[in-house]
Amino acid sequence: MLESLVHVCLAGLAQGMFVWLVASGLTLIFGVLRVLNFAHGSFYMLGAYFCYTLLSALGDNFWAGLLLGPLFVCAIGFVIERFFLRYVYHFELPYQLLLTFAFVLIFDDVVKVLWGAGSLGSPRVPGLAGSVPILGRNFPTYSLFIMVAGPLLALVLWLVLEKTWAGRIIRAASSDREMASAIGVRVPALYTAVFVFGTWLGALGGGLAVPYVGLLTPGMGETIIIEAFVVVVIGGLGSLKGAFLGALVIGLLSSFGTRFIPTFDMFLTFILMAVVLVWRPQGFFGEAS
Amino acid sequence: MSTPLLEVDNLSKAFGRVVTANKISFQIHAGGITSIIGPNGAGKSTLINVLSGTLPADDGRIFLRGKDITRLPTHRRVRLGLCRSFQVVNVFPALTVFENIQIPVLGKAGKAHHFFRKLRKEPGARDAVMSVLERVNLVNQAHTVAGELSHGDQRLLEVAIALAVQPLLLFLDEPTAGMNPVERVEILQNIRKLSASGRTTFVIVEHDMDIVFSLSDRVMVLHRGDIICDGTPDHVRSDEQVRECYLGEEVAE
Amino acid sequence: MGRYKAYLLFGLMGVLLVGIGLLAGRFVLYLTMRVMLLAIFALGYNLLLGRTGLLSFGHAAFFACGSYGMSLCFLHVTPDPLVGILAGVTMAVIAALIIGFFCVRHTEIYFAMLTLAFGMMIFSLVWNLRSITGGDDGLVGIGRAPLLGFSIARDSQFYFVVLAFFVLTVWVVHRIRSSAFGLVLAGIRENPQRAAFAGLSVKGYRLAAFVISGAFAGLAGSLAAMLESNTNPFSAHWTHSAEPVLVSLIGGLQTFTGPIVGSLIFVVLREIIERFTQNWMLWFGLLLLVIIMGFRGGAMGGVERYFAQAGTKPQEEGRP
Repeated sequence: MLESLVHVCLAGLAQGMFVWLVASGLTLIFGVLRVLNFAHGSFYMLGAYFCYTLLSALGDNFWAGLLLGPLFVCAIGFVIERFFLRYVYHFELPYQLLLTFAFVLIFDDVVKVLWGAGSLGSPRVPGLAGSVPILGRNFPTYSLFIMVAGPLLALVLWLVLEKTWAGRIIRAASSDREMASAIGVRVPALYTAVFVFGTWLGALGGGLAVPYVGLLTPGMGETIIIEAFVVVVIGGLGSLKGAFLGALVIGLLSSFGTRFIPTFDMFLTFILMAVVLVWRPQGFFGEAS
Repeated sequence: MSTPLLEVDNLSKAFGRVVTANKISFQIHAGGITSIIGPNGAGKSTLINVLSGTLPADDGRIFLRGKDITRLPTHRRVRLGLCRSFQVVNVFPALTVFENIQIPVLGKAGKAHHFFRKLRKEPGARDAVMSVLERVNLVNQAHTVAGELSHGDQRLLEVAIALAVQPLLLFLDEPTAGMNPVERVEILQNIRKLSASGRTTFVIVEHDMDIVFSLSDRVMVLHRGDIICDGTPDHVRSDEQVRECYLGEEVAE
Repeated sequence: MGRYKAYLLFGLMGVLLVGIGLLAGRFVLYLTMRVMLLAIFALGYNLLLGRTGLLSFGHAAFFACGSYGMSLCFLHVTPDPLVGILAGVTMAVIAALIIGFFCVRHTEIYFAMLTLAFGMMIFSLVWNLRSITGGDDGLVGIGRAPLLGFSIARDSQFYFVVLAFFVLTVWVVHRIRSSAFGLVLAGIRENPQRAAFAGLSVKGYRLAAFVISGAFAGLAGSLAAMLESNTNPFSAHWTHSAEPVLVSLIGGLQTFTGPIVGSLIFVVLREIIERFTQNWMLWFGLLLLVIIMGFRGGAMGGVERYFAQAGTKPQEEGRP
């Protein structure tokens, strides 16, 4: 029984890392640009598909794929912000949301056109394939890797935001856009940079997910964006800390649900979201409205 | 003594370390015009925001005609007789002037929830709207879209929307901001007239000292979260503390 | 648009629709029914989006509640179509009340996210509860029992049921838009803070608009189940929620007839696109992009502006 619980917890923590990467990009973009990017799940999906293709093309080199794949998605993100989103910042909110939603529709079909509507099998990563016995049961090595890499990335992200000059600017722009502009920050360039960075985070999540998910499907963007929404609602929109903790919670809940109450696994996360909404509407670390 | 129209009891509100209200207590009785003045950033607008329900108080209580409204949402306070106008024009921009006034009139008459009866068939509302428009001289603009009005007319509309709910207690947040002298005189005459008719008690936040001293029966001075002076215009004008905090501004002639 | 001109146009449309019902072949009948059902969905939805200013990504869930409610009633309770439709609409209304309660207390961004998440919650329920909903197969064998004694088994007969509900929807939505309630909704869209200072409970009105639009979604879903003889779990998916949004945008958010025109354009366009490619979502995504970047007034927005400039005084139909 115990090893069951431990395994479920560990699996949940690993799973949470992927949602966290998408949610962190989403919340970062929202914090600075005040735009909710519906297409962030698509960036995750595109990241996965690009990495998959690259790693096959580069002789099954997962790390090269992981390095280069997200860059392609960043290019797409750049185009979206620079040539579309930038022109709608002064529109009413529904139009901004619908713009990002238009890209969801577009990318969903683009993926089907380029990679087919069926699923692609996950390749194994040499060195991280196989499993490790934990409490007598085998636990996938790759999941362990994710459990280490995830928090490490979180730490790096935190360091960048807290300690570097770029990070300070982002935090300033996040809390007061006008002020940042007044002290000479070139806001349009900053917006593009933040959007691209957020895109990178999401795409990286997708790339890391390639060996994990078992099957790449065109629907993977949709599932992850819903989870990311739940995470930012629970953690608070705009808070990276909240996104991390929220993702852990969602990962654990989802893992427990899949293992013990399979029919209702997603339902649990929605119930939690509803509870948080009633009890603390702005999320645990969000700004009170 | 009769129940005061508004009673504020130990009201506190702070934003981080900035204290905008520090255990403020005061009463306002029905009738007359009270002004609240104070240096910029003293918290006058915040006080109105808290009293009208836009912001929650940190501590303390607010009573309207004896009823505790501290926790009530804005629309409930309005139903009990409180209202406010805004410093920055805050109308319904895509709707016509007529419709702008029609909304509060319908709300007041309890007819706003009618979802089947055609608006054309609500004659009582129409008369009420026209009478409000007459009072602020906007009858000619009744079918102009609010967003297309001149700034001065928008300010008139701004106050008119607040008047349309026939409040017992009306907070005006810098009602003459951005108005030219002619418009200013007009709106002040309006306020005097309305006050004289007895139905509405005015509390005005203002900067312009001429207005404050010529119009008000009572002046309250708010400085760093405290009411440092409270009394007739003459009393306030000659108060030492008030002069100090307004150093450089023309308080007394 | 002048009032009499509008009545004339609607009269013409009515005659046209009746004519189609009597004379057209099966394919045109089917297509027209789909247009009308989508228009019912979108007319109700636009009360929430265009009028009240709330963008919901979860209304597909209410459409599905209508579909599944009606179908479950048919399969397990009674084949009476009116009872079935009532069951579908009631289920949609209950779902909209519960979900709306959680969502309307938030604005804009949170509202969009939450409606999407709750909508997908319903989708996951529909997908997972195989024994009740048929899972990914949906419920099949939904027939059309006689309505008030009249047989509606054939498409050409059922057409008039759909037409009747379409006309009813148009009439009700029009009345709502020209009522005090409709004006208040516009006020809430324009300036929710000021609406509160008019003594109106913004949350309450938003919830009402949410539930009303949910009811129409449920009506459309119920009729759709009867049209197709089965239910489709993907009717609850958020990408289906995009349809009334697209339709309203194409036709013009601030207009009354926009959703109707938009539905026509949408269904016809989709038919055409699907002849050439399966990837109609891609093309609609692009269309959405074009509209947002360039033509936010939509098709009817341009038409109404033209009429307004031509000197006719704007009557209720055209007022926001």
